[in-house]
Amino acid sequence: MSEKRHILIVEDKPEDAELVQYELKRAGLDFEVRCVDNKEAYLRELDAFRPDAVLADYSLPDLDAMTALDLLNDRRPLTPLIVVTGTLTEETAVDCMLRGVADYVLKDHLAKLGPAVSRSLERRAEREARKRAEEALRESEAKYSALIKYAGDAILIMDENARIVESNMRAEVILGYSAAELSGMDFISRHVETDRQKADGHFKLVSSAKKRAFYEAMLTTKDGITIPVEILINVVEYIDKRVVNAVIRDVSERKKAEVLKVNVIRDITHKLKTPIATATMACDLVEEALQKNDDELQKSSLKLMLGSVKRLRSDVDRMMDFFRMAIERPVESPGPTSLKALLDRILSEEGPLARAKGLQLTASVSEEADEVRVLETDLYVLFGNLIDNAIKFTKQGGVAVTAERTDGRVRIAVEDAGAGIPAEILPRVFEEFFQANAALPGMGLPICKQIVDRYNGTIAVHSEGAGKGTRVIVELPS
Amino acid sequence: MSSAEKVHILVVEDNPDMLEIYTNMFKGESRFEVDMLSDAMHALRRLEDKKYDLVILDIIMEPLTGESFFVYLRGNAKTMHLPVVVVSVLEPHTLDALKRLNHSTILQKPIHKDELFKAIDEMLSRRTNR
Repeated sequence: MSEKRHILIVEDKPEDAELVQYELKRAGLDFEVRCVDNKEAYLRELDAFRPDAVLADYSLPDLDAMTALDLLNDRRPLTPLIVVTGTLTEETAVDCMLRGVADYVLKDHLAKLGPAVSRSLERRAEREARKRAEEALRESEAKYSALIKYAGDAILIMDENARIVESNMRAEVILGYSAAELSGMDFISRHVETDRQKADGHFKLVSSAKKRAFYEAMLTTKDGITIPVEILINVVEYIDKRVVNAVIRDVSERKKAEVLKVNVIRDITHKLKTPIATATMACDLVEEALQKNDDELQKSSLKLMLGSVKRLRSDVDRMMDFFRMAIERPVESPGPTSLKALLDRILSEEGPLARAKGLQLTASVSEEADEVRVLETDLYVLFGNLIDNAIKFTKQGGVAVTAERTDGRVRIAVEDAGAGIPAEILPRVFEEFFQANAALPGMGLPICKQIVDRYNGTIAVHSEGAGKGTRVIVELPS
Repeated sequence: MSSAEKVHILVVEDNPDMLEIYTNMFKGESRFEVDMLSDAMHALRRLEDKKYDLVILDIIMEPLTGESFFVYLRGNAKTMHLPVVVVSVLEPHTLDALKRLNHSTILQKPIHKDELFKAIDEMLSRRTNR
């Protein structure tokens, strides 16, 4: 080290201090020295001079070497103190060493001082290096144990017989057992019965051949629920022994999303296939009509084709509405839209369908409920869907829309005397692509919910049960 | 051909376009007498009152689905052996449960008139051979 060593000498005889410095120079040490002869100065210099080593006479009037050592240990631990004294009994020498004095040198053997200081400084450097390494290790251990403890995946450490030795927090959450309960538990038996053989095979291969394995399985939790997981097992060296480590990822959410995706695709496909099928069949009929020169059949089948293609188009439009809603941001303070004018428009569009079924279609909007702060296009999609649903599921009677103002909001009810909704599926009607008949995509209500949510409104569906009609209540800002 | 000699068919289908297509398909086919209902629940009741030789059945219907209709049909002694031609937009393999119910055949929309009539004839000949 190029820096000068700071050496603090505790000595009340200046000539002895001189001698000490002379010996240090002789030993080739590059140092800077300060001398103190009382406790107050000693304490001050410990902080100001920051000595790398202290050379202390054994007994000064107000500061003996042992007191100096204690003060030094308090302020600058690891700094060596060497006792330099005129006389020292063997007993005192042993006592000094026991209490942590680095070395001692008799004044009539000062030639030994240089090497003693060098040795002490070296040892101090070693000790400091070791201390830094230990601190770094402790820090990294704390870091890694926190990483494991709070990891997003469950982590289990097992012995060669698949007995759980340690587990992290996520393992407790996923499996439902406390760490204490998990300890000693057989990991293989956590798998559902049909997965046990596979798990056992992977485990044996991993623990015997030091390989790693990755597999999907179902685990049983404490509550008896089974959950889909991905498991990575490998062998790790862990405090001098080889253990098997398993990282378990709960993939329930992903599996659910996969199922939903498959359902969405299937439902969309079916929804589109129906009008395509009728249009295709109508084409066949046109062909037949042409062959037979049957004008009437030609006309009616062409009308059919047009109707099917129109329906196809409206289904595609509804799907587009739905996906648009899923990606668009909410509208900031839209201007007021007239509810009455909008409902009149929908009623005139839906009128023919309702009349064809012999249904009464009515709307009544009180004057103070006419203005709502919702974009007209959103209102159109919202009530278009609700009224369309109501007509579709009603065989006789009517569909009534009423709107009134309550507590600064507009409350709109769409009531029908139709098929109703069984109690067990009522809570699910807003789920995407869920409808009483799973094969029919029920995008109407999910779209409605998305629109209403965008305006911080509410929508609720009430039904006394199957066959007892349905009442949908929407509340919107006005 | 008197009504007694004709083949009586009940079509259970809730799509108005499909009903019109069936109407056109059966037009001029004097050997069939066809009734159509768009509600499977009504169709079940109709089957209590009137004897049919064959049912053409849609699957995706509200509120009673074609699948449930079929199960009720087979649970009733009167209609246990009634031949059924399922005509649905669903892929036939997704209707495996229905295949286990006897005396049925499954067609996927779109269907051609010839295909439908062939299926009807096959079902009827199987019945008479039994």
